[in-house]
Amino acid sequence: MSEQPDREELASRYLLGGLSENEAMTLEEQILSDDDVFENLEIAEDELIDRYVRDELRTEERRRIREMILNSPRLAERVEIARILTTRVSPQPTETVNPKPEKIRWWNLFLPTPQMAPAMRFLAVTPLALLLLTSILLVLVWTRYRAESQRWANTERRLSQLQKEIADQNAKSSGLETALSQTQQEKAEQEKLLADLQRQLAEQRGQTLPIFSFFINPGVGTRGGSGAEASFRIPPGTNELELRLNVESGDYSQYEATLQDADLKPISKPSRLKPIRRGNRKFISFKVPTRLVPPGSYSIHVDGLNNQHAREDFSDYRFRVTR
Amino acid sequence: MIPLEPVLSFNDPQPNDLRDKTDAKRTHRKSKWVMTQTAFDKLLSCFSLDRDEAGRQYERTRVRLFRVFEWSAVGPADELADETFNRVARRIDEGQNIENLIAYIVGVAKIVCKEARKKHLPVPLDDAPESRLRITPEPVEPDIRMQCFDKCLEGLSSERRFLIVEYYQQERRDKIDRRQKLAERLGIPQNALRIRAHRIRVALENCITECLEAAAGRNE
Repeated sequence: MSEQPDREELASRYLLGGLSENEAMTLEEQILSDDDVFENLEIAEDELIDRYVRDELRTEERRRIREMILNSPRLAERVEIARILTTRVSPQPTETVNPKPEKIRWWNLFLPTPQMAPAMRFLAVTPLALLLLTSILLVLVWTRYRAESQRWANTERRLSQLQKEIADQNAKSSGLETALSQTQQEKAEQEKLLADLQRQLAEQRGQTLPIFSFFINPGVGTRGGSGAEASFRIPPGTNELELRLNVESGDYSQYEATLQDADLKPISKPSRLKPIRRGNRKFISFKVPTRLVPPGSYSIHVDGLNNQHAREDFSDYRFRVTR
Repeated sequence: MIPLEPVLSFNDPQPNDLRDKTDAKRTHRKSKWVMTQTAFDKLLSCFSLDRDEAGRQYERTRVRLFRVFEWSAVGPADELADETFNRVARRIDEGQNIENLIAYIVGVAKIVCKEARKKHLPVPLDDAPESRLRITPEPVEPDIRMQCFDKCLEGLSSERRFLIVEYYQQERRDKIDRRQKLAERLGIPQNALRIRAHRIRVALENCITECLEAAAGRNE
């Protein structure tokens, strides 16, 4: 590196005529054959011209340069250009000389430049690398989160769908129950109708239809004497109802029974009945067509007949026919 | 470009000719030597056996020899360079064996330079006639050279323009610091900066020269 200032000084001395003849000839051989030496002389010529224009040369030096200029139109032209160059690039800013500031792109802040030391290049690249890595991680996390969200949405949608199906099933079930109840009601009505039709048919054919018998105690509805009226259902197809009325507490030889409705209005004519003893029971058998006793509450008033055949109030037998 | 014909220069004795008298006598006694094609080819062959390479080296040497004469403050440099090559070619043509062509050319150039100095006696600059002054006349408005300068400077890339403006700032003391800082900013040695600035300046000057020639052509 120290050779360069020596070469610059040698070139300057050569141009100013400060070398010996031998030194000059040696340098001239290099000028003719060595590109770097020649360029160095050209640069020395630039600098001497600049110093000449700026009046920075000593008197003898200035004289030497003027002699060169006098003998060279090329150097004279160079001097004129140097004057303009000096004027144009003076410290006062001008529009034509001031360089436009380079537009620094934002990414250049993160990119290494050839002027940076290797360590600085690494530091310049590191933030960009971290930013890139962080961005990649964020994208991955976001992608995963999005997939999870979609899965949740699908699950909720499915759940909602199932709940709707359950509600529909419940509604359907409720409807089916209603339909079942209606069906059962219709069935009962049809069974009743069927029984009526069978009875009518039997009456038409003169067939004796089955009798339904039921034992009733006096004043109480049940055999145990609980006070509630007897309640029974007449089986379908039964034409005649036989009510066996308990007369164990009476000692009449004959009784008279009359069927009454809930308002105690007679439904049938009085019937004279003789008591029947079977085992340890003594009762009278009161028969009534089932058509006379549709579901509802009834009572049978029973009078005893004495020796003069006068009626003596004996007991009432309450019962209920259910569907 | 390789000249097909040798460049002819003066050989006739001049009044007050201060050339080497021995050489002058020889010249006077013998017929004037003229560069022939053969002599020129012999000269080229001394540069290189390859004709094209020889031509490049000849032209390069000629340009640099021209500069040497300019730097020697003698002129006209182009004629002196031609004269040098003629003498060298003549010696080669006469059969002289030249081991170091460049050194021989420099030697002959030194003689030619001395002869030119003797021929054109130095004149005090203050007394120099107007015709001797080769300095361009004072510019008149509008200054075409200034316009060409601005145009060519603007034509440089922003990086080159910035470099050359920064490099040629005026203040002396500040200039040294500026150049050092500029070199550090660019990350290059100061000598590399020096060379880069020179080359940009050469390009700028070439552009200005072309611009001036174009302007002169339009004015004609």
